Amino acid sequence: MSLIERIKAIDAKKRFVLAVLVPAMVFFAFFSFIPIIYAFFISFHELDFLNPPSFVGLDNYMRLGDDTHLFNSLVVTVKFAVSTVFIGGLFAFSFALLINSVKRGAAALRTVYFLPVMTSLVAVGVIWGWLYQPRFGLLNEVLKLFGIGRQMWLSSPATALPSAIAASIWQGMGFTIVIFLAGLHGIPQSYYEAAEVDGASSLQKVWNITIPLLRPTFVYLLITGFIGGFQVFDQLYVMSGPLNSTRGFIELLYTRAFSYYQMGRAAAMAFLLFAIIVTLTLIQFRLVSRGKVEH
Amino acid sequence: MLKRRSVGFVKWIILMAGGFTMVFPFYWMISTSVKIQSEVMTIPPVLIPTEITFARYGRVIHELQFGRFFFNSLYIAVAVTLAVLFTSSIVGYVFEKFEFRYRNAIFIGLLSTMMVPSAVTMIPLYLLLGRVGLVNSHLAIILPALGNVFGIFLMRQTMQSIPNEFIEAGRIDGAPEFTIFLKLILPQTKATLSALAIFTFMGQWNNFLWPLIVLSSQGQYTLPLGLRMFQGQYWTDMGLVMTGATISVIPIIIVFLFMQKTFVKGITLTGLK
Repeated sequence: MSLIERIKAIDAKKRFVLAVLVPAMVFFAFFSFIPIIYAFFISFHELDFLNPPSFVGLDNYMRLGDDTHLFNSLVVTVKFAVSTVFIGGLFAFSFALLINSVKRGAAALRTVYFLPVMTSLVAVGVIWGWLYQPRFGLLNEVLKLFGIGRQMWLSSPATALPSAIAASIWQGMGFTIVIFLAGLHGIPQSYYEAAEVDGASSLQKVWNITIPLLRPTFVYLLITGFIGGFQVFDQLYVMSGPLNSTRGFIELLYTRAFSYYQMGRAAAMAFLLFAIIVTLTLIQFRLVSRGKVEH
Repeated sequence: MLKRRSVGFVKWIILMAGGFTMVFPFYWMISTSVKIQSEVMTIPPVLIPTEITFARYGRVIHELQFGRFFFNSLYIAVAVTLAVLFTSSIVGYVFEKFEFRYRNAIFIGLLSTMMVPSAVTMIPLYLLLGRVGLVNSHLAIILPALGNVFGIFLMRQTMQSIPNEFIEAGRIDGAPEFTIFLKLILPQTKATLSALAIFTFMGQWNNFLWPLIVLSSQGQYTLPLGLRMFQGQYWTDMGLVMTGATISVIPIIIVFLFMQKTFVKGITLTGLK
């Protein structure tokens, strides 16, 4: 039988499945599976554009251990992830509670808080770079009203990272608020009414009803926040401070791979990041399944 | 009673202050872009422009190529979005409604790639695309984005709630499988499709790192790349930089204001399950 005859002999259902799956699998093989394997191969080699790859064994991975640039970039990244998740999360939670408690205008408020989420991180970096500008920037002018002297913001190694983090929190808060609001809507009003009968204060209600019942939301935001935070690039690259003070993990990887052509070392770094993300995902699974047993 | 009222007042003060903080940077961006040159970089800053000029917009769009960057961003994002909607829904449909060998194993294999950070595939993809001569072309951005595992997962979830009787009825009527998918199944997934469309479009529109890696000639730049380059070149002329920022930010915000409901529904649909 020729190939065409064989295909004709297959029934319509099977033909449809094959017509969809085969191209899909070829696509993911080319753009996902093969690159992952290739990256693994690269991580055991020294590779630039000029020379053929030379095998170096575990060297690229061993060098991760005593790499001060890598260590610094990890410190920057962890600081970024921890502050955006916890400080940003606390702000978002407080605002979500406030928005949830108003009777009128909640939708309008949500819209306003969501505007920065629609803005690209590059634009956020550019806009805040202007607000932070030490000489003509608006923020120093505002501080002057309160009698506070001129700050260097992104131009000083001490304040660059916190300034970039603040702008990131500003950008991402609306997203977190929307997720919190969705969770808050899922809590039955009767719980609060029962607590009111028992004479609970607003804070007690938040502490004893809202927070425990929002546990899945907290776990989700915590883990996705860390996974995203570890891969931060755009805003730190655009709002870059002096002396690598805002150079995060991905920026170092990008610089090594595409400016210094140390592809092998960069690939090893990428797998370190992969390991971190897998660990975080596993922790999430643990936390979620434990939560299910309790309820 | 008095106490309750004052609590409500404080609440509104906080919410308004927060809202002001959210909106003000946008006001500052736009107002900087339309101020006359002598009011842009001054001490103290000019809060409300005395005169308004749109002269920078013409210059930024034509002479400084922002019109081109805008077009590049737009057509890449539209192409990728349309493709992702199609591939995600048809592959999700096949995984949900057809039985075949290794179905679950293949699906789990696909899902597991979602854990792999893009940093891992960045280097090999660059080398592979370079070998076939696609680096520094928009295809280097579009091609790898055509299939989306998250989209497939999302569409498969959505298809679960569609009864199989629909498909059977179509088959009895003698409709080809593809027609069944296109005419009977796809229209029922509109809500998820529009959420997926918005997320895919936004992701592409704001995409920065991958275009930064693969695009090297300025004519090919997308908006984020153009804006970044602008910031480096014209840091002494914030009027120009803010004009570029406004051009890349405001259209998407207008679209958002129209599609808000879908958007918020999309986040709760995709974010929390």
